[in-house]
Amino acid sequence: MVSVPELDSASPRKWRDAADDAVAAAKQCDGLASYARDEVAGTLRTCWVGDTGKAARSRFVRHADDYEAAAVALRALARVYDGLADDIADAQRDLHSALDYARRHDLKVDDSGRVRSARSVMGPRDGGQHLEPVEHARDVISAALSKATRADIEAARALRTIEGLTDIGDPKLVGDALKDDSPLGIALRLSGGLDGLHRINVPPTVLAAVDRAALETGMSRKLLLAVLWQEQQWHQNHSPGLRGPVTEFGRLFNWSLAVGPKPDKSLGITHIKLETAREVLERNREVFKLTDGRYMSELTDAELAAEIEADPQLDVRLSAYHLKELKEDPYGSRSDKDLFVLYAADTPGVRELNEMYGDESGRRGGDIKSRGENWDRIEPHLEDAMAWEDLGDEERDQAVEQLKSQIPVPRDVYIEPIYSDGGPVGGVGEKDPDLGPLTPSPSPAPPPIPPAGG
Amino acid sequence: MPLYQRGPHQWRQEPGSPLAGHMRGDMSFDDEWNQLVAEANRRREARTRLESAEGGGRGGAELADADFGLEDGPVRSKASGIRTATTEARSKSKLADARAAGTSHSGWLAGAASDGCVNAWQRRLHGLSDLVEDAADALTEAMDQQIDQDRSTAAGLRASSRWLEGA
Repeated sequence: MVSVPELDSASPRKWRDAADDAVAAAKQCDGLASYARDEVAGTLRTCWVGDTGKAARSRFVRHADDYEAAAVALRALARVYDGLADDIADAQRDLHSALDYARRHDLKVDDSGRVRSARSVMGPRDGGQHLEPVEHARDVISAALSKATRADIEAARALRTIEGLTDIGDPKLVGDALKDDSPLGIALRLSGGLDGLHRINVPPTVLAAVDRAALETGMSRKLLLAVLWQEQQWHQNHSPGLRGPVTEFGRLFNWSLAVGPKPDKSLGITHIKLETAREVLERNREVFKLTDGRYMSELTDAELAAEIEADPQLDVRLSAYHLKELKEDPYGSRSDKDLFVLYAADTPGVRELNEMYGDESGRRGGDIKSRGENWDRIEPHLEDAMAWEDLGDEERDQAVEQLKSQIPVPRDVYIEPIYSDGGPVGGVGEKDPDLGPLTPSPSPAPPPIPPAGG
Repeated sequence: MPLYQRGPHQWRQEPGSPLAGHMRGDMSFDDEWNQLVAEANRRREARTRLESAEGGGRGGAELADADFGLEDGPVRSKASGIRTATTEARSKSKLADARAAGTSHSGWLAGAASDGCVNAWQRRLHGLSDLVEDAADALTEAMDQQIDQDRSTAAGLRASSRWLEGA
């Protein structure tokens, strides 16, 4: 979410200059394409007859294609920059007028766009009229921030696709990839790698549990997947199937800590605390039953801890219900990112700061800041992985084939969704699935203690 | 001076001979001869056109006899031309303003994404220029090698035809 200071200080002119820059580069590429094809290859056709001459000619024709593809991509880049400049200019204009209005009416505007009266209202009530300026300013500012945020998200997605186009030397494929929601575009973004982030290594059963829990509770799949990603423990990266001696040891380790010296140790793949799990079970007794009909809330601590550790699907479900409860108090829990931060530490302080700063992580302190930034880092990857999952098999296969056709042997191309139910989609070559760094990156720190400043 | 002369069937040479690459064994000699003469004339005309367009180019009596499908003058000129073009492109496609926009919007998702995109495209354009320059260099080298070969082939042919004249 773009904040008030970010929108206030943005520079549409710089994005327009960027667009001009991209167009200038595209023109250079056009020039080189035509020289390579018409002048060099054309001259070779008449001046060097024979097989070797033909080979030389096709080399230059290929370079001409590469430059032509580059020109298409760079022009698309210019359009993204221009579009972003337009949207920022519009949103900024509205924001500036609202900020002027707020100043004139003695209103305080937070970074998140929250508006309050700077004066305390002590005088006789006037039927709510004193609230009108606040509401007016808030509505205009909120709309401006939403517009800027949408433009930001869309531009970022388009830029990631265009980044992937550096691998494509066929002008026609470039055109295909640039179409909205094109499978090839999604594949390009996914083959760009995970920027050092570790994958969510869970079996399809857990991903299915995520789907079910999302439906059951109304929480977004993206939020649940993000919690899974954030809370992955180190042993996950060694045993993607959640089986094997290392994983067993890890689970054993957790369970014994839960009931031993550290009763508030977090459990299971979503790191839910025993205490939190208990609360969820108490408030949702009917929903959590054992196969023999008993309520889970009747289990002892040790039994409950063992259940959670043994059953990742239960863990996911408990976390989804917990998030749902967090959302029941809307203060500071508006967005998925808010909830993601609150999952780690739900305190009035954190909620207040969510309200004040909105989704803006830069100003927050300590662990909250890094958790918020983690959300920013993984959200686009989750979006792409979800979009990839929504495609049909044929669409996915075709996109992979198109990518393969562009990559000169022997460099690999590898589709790397941050999660997938069938494992990573194969590309060229024998590369093993990259399970990411051996320790979660970044590592799951102990639950953050929000400092006074949030 | 004609490259070939009418003669008996010893024109159909074994693969090792200088003429082998230029003869097709399934045509009559007359057809082949006419075809080769026509090709040679076309190339000579093309070279003359190009040379006058380039304002000169290789004269050289030795090339007049080495008409084996290669006119190196124009090719060298285009190889040099594309090197000039890539040098110019390098200086005009730095994407410096694009980079600056991303830097000044570092808190925005688009800022970070633009940085990644600009980095990738700077590398790509740089790489394409390198490839084209390599190809241009390879072309010039090939011209040098081919012309050397042609000269010795031409010399061989002249020797063969003198032998035939004398037969």
